[in-house]
Amino acid sequence: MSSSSTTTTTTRLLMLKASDGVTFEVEEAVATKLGAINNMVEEEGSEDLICLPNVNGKFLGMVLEWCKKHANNNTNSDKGNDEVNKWWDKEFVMDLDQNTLYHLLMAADYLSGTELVDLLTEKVASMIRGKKVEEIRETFKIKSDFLPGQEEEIRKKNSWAFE
Amino acid sequence: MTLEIHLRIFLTKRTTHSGGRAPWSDLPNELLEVIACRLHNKTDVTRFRSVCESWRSSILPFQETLILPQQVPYLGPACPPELERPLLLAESTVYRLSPPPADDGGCPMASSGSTSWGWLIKLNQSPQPQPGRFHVMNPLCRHQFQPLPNSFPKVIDSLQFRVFEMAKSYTLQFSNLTYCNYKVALSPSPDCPSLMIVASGVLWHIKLGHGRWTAIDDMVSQLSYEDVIIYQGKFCAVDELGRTMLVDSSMHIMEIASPSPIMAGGDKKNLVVSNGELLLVDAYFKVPYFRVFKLNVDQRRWVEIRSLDDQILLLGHDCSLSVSARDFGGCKGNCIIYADSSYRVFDLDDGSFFPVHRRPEYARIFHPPSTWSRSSPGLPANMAVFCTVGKFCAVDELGRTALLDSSSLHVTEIALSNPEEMARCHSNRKKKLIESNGELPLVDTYLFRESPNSSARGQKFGVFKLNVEQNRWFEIRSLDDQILFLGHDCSFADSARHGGCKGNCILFTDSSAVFWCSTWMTVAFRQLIKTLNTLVYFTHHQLGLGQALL
Repeated sequence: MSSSSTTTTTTRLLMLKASDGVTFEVEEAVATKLGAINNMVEEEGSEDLICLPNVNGKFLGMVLEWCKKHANNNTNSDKGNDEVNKWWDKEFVMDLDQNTLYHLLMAADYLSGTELVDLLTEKVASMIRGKKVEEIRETFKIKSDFLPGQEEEIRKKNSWAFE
Repeated sequence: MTLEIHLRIFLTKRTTHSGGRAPWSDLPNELLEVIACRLHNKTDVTRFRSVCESWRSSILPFQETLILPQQVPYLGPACPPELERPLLLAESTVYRLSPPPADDGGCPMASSGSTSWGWLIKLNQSPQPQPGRFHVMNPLCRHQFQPLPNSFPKVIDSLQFRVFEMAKSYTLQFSNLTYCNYKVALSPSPDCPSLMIVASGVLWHIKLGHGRWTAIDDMVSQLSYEDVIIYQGKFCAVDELGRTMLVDSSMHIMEIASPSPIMAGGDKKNLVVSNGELLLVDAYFKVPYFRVFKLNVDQRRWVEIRSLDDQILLLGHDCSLSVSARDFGGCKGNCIIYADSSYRVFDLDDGSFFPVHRRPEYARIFHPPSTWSRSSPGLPANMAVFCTVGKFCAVDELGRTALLDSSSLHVTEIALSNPEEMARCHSNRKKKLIESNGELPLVDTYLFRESPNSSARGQKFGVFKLNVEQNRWFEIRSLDDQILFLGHDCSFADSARHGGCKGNCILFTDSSAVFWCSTWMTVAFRQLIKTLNTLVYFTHHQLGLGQALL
């Protein structure tokens, strides 16, 4: 029955400290969804305060929000929960602006949250698919740094000539 | 919990607090690679690489995972060995293009309020000798559009459009270039690319490169296969009773739907993947009628569904696909478009049928800009020729009108000759076919002398509309808000709304290339237009034609 969740000898809490000093108290099972933290816990044993100088508190919070959802739902892994997770993920990335998305992706990558990186890169890919190059540049606020001749070359390669 | 509190704090700040600039062009290479891996087609990868230097250098150009052999061993009617020449394999891609935004600087006459219509174009890239050349294919048939109308742009800069790859289709041709009537599916798995086809009810398989055709004989559906597609990376075939199988690369067969008597009625079963789900469309040709089924995976059976919601299914001879009505302007979803003698739409809401050209919103799905209303030169002078979806339409001086299938040259008469109405006693006459609002009006030009003593000639027009049921042209008195443009090489119609002028008139050129505007039966005013020929290169919904003219 619920044996797996009651045998959690690891209801231990970890303190995570972000670059701006904001701290989060998180269950170990939640934080170890992140590969980087998992490694630290395994290597350093009972270290309770983990400093993360490369992640801003805002984005660390969001990453942990995602971890918490997924750690909870992993305890009882039936099909319905899978659907809930998918739906939740969809909502999670739905309204992300490109700025937040960028920093969240960098944070997830830094913390080795593989599944979250998958989710976020898929979101980025979905913002690229089908779009014109100019639209992609606009979406991600990127300026073209090609030389004019190079640009012309690219344009030629993308033309369809009909017979 | 602390976490809860913190989360609440950041959630409230989520939209206001930002973490500074997001330098996407400096994203680490490994992340750029992961993102690019999620772009699955050449168009998207090429565009990704065209954004900036660092994105370009992060990944290699798109590699076709599979270089198709151009030939596969012969499979067909028994014939002497020397005639068993290899079959030619060709791949086409169906793209959805969304037109450029109306503020496109490249088109000086672009109207500001143009609607954004997506359209489908099927292209076959010529393997050689010139890799950058494309053939434009009929979207629902196996055939190439040839020759292309003069107005068809010679080159499309695909970067100007949003481009989505919708589907790939494969065809086999005999060595004399006639198309085999085989439904072809290709499994592009890199270690063992292979083809599976349905030919006269038999399911055949061949490993590409070094294989021979093998009949898939599972002792059940032997001669009754009707369709094969790729679904979830495997071949998926259906027989006449709806029995459906998945076949993997090692030829292991798994039945995913049992045969069912309720499926026995239809004439042709088509498999389509719509939003990731497997659908079966059962076509009844005589009625005609379509039933749509969805696979219930657990019960291993097809369940009839009544609605496709926003989806439009396109049933083609070589490939079927599902598109969202949202992407095609004013179209309604929940319908099926198929190729009969012409393209037809079946509306699942009320079971009604109509030819695609009757409803401009559906016709436009297949209309590359300005292509379809250009006449083709080189046909008899007394015939007006008009190219509608996949067909030529021709009319003679007595009003007899016929549709010609461009591939089989099969002729269907759609209007009988009508000497009383059409051949009034005027000296010089010319008939022109125009598509207006999806209808097919015919304009009859009478040229006559105004007075016996004068050399000046007056001009008069009769406009007729085709009554499909009666196979006749009937004269009409009003074009409502339409303006007909009669050119020597091309005629077309547009709504007066688009230019803010009055409808119900005809613009035409006379022999001295003077552009006239005539209201019904009377010449109202004339205006010189030097650029008639440039106008017809643009589709009417990209241009405010009225504005351009007035």
